[in-house]
Amino acid sequence: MDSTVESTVESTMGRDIHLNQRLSIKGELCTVKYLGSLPCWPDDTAVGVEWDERAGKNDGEYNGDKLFDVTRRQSGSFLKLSKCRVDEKRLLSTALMYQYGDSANVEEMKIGKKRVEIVGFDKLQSQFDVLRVVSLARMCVYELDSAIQLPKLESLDLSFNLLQSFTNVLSFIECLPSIQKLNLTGNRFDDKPCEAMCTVPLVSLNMTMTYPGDGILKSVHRCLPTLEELVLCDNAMTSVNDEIGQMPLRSLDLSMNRITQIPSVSHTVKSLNLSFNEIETLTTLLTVHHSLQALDLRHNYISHWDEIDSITTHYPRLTRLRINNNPLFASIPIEEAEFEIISRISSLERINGHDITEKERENAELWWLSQWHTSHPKWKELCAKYITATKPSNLRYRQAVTHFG
Amino acid sequence: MDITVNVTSSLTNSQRRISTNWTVAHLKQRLEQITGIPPQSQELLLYPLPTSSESVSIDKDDSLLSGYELPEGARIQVNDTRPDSELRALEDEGRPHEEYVMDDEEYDKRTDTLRHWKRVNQLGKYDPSYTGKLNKSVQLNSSIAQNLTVGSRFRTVNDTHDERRGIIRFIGKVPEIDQGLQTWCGVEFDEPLGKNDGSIKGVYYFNCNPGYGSFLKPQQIEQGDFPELDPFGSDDEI
Amino acid sequence: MREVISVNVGQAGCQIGNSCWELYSLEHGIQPDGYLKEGLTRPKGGEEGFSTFFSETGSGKYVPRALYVDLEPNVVDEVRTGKYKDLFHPEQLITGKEDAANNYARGHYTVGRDLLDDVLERIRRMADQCDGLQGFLFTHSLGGGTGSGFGSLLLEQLSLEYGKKAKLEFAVYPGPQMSTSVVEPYNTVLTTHTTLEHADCTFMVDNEAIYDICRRNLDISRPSFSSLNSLIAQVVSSVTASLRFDGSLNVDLNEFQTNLVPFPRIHFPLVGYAPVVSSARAIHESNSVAEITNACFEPGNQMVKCDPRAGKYMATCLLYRGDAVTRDVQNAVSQVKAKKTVQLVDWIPTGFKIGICYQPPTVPPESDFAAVSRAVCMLSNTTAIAEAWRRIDKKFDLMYSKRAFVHWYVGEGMEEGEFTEAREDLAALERDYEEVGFDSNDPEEGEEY
Repeated sequence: MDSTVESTVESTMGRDIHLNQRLSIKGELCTVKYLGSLPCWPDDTAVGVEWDERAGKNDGEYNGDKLFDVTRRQSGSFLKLSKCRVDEKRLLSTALMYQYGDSANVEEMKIGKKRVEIVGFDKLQSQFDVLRVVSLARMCVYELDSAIQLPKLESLDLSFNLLQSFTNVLSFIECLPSIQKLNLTGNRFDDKPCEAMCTVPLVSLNMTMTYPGDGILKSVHRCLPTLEELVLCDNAMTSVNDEIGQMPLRSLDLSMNRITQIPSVSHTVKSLNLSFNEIETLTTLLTVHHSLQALDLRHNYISHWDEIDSITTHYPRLTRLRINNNPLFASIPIEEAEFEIISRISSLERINGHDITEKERENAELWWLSQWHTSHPKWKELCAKYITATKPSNLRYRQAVTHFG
Repeated sequence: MDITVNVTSSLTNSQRRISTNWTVAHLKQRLEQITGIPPQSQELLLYPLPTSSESVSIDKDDSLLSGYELPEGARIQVNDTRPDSELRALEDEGRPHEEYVMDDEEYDKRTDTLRHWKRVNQLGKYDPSYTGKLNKSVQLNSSIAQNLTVGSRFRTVNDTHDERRGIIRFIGKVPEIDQGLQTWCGVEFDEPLGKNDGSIKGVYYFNCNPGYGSFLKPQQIEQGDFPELDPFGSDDEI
Repeated sequence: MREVISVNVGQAGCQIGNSCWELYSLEHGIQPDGYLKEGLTRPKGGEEGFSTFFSETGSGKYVPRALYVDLEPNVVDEVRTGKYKDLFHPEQLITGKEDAANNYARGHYTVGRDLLDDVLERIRRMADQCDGLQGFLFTHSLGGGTGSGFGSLLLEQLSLEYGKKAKLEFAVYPGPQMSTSVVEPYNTVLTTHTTLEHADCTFMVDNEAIYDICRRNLDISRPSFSSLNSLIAQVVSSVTASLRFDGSLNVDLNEFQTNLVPFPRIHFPLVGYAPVVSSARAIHESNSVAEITNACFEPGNQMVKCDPRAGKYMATCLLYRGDAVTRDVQNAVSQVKAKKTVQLVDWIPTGFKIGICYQPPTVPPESDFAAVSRAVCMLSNTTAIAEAWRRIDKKFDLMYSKRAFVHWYVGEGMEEGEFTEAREDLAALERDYEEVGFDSNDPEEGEEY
């Protein structure tokens, strides 16, 4: 196959396109994976891209030749350079002016014959010094500059932009003295580790769909010491590296990954989200984690009751558990499954999104006793709990015990 | 002691607070108001837990509810023992029954109605110019439609979007839109810039992918050789 | 000041009232005991907005301008002994001894009458404490005995006594599949008929719609009433946010009517709300202005089960909360316009309005709702909601054609003629919606379906 690979070409709009560049084409984000010629387009350059979200035409091959790799099936396409409508990329300050500046004011809009009346939105326009929340999602921002001061900014949403330098992100937030929350969802960063230590009070960072490499994760660990909440949702992670495991977080969200083993996390973590992963077992965890209060294990591969029992062993203070949609519960009614879980995990206060009342716990435990799990360690404990009680609702238990001899 | 139970019957399902100090007879009285089944025809089945598949019958009218194992969250199913219960008829909504219909004459006579308000204020079809405009529009569109052919390419005119292109898939009346007044054009756009899949209120006039189909008035359509505009058309993206 | 008095009637009304006042307290920084949260010097939301819903006592305590009324004591007893018992003055919690037994006639004529004077007197006292009472906000169910019977009685009386003061309702409409009692259709039709001329604007919620949203969007395996009510509270809160906070649209209770009700009888806007998301999803899906705007037009996010795509819009208000800028809102509405059939009725004076309240939605601690930076509530007066009336009328006919249970009502002193009269009125209401019909657009204009 005759194709000359080029590293940089000029698009019709006079802008450079280079390999590994992040582009937005008609609002769809992609990464440039190939530049060169294809026999079918003799007069044009072919741009091979991998789309982030939309479906493409192939897996990066042309006439059977693999020209680039993709991580998601059917996410690759070749585009004619001359027909490539690349969206204009912006500096942060440009995007900010565009959304929050004066010029962003109302143009007339109609539905049918009626004018759409928009009122009250002018209060925030152009008031950069008082802005607390800024959302610049899908604005083609490629670089964060400090041309506009945002002294009161607490929450910044930069999701689905073209940011590629994590160093740029870190040095930018240093200029935001009040920043607490940062959302970087959907950006893809070059895996260059950063050194600078952040001094701003950032507590919450969202890195969903950023597919961070080890260098980036190391930087998050090293440079953001005040972080309490970290979201690493949907990053195709198969395990959790030590840096993340050691971070003194309060809340860690690892949902929608491909994690197979329950990870060991810092003892500061109170809330751990592992929903939509591939966890089969919890028994591999060797340590006891005393501060974990909330655990989300929905949509995993848990299929044995032993795993439920090991939750109590590893997380003795767990009060909230979400665990529906696991194979273990496929063949039994959800009510029964929840009764089992409530009985086996005494510390629980909430299961699958609803509160466990005192009466419900009693019902569950009495029901569980009636199921004769006599060899289970919990059995004796629960027997002891109810044998002394004299309430009429314990009738059945006492009948059961009498019956059993 | 007060507890919350779920009361179910063939027609109802509700959460109720009851007292365990009540007699069964009193409970039955209460249940009549909920389920519509008179006490003497009630069969009460107690399912102690949400998970219970076995039930206990509550049948001793004089005894107190505290004599039964009746935990919080229990379910009490109330069955109707009458073979020809009036409730049977209510279970089947599809069954023919007298439905109250207000005829047009009667509605027309009322003075607190929307129609009356429209008439007094000359709104909608009561606007003196409405009929004239409507007739003109019906005529205009049916004459434009005569020059359109199913299967031809077209582009939109006076579109609030940018110009859209596609193929004409249907020409004719669509009662689901306007009771068959106007002539409509069913179109399939090249890109997903439409509103449906060729159906309106469940009735299919043609078939296309969801979001590619729309119904437009013929006056909004210009037939001709207008090729696809899509930059991701089959030629430019492989 | 422009005060609003909330009146919660019957079991459902009082329980929803509870969830709402919990949320309001949280949003304004009021603790369960009525005092300010530590670190605050004034309640959140600005004096003007805040004092619409709360009054301030000399001692720095804040009290909801609210009344709980039930014919039997059980549900209100839970308020009296619950976490928020100190938030209310005992005078605000009124109960009788005998319940309405799911019977409109008992709530309206017999048992309810006995409690009426007491309730009106308490309302008078609350109204006396107001500088400029705007009106009343009712919460009740349409299907229960107290909610339907006593609720409508009270609305009638307030109409007599407070003339033109605005009266808005949040009403629990019976779910399409399962009834809570066999006579629910009777109660619903009777109360709707009685209140049709007294309520200015009624927002309906049906428990089945709410249940489905909780299950689907929040991944709650078995949604309890408290889950349902906390979702309803979020919706009610976003409707009332512009009254309670420095808002831009509907800052006055009357404006709901002005903006949404072109003709007095057609006063049942459909409520759509987005996003309702549990944590993981909310973080994963970007809740952009475009996405939430699109979502609140979808059938699955409506508080009453019906298909908004099948209806014609007489009036629409989009109420944003939190961070949303003009440009995004305009783009979002353009997208909805392009992708969906949004037919506004040309000859109706009300239109399409968009407002914002910069206070983002508040999430109770450890709630199933994800903390989001913005939400939108759509109030649309659409003919699609006529489906709900058709459904209940049909159920009414099924029973009434056999005169089933009518004697329960007659036994409480009601005349049978009231059934016929009410049913005719509802039939006329269905016809009113049909009358919006196919002459809704200027025939010369282009249209797209």
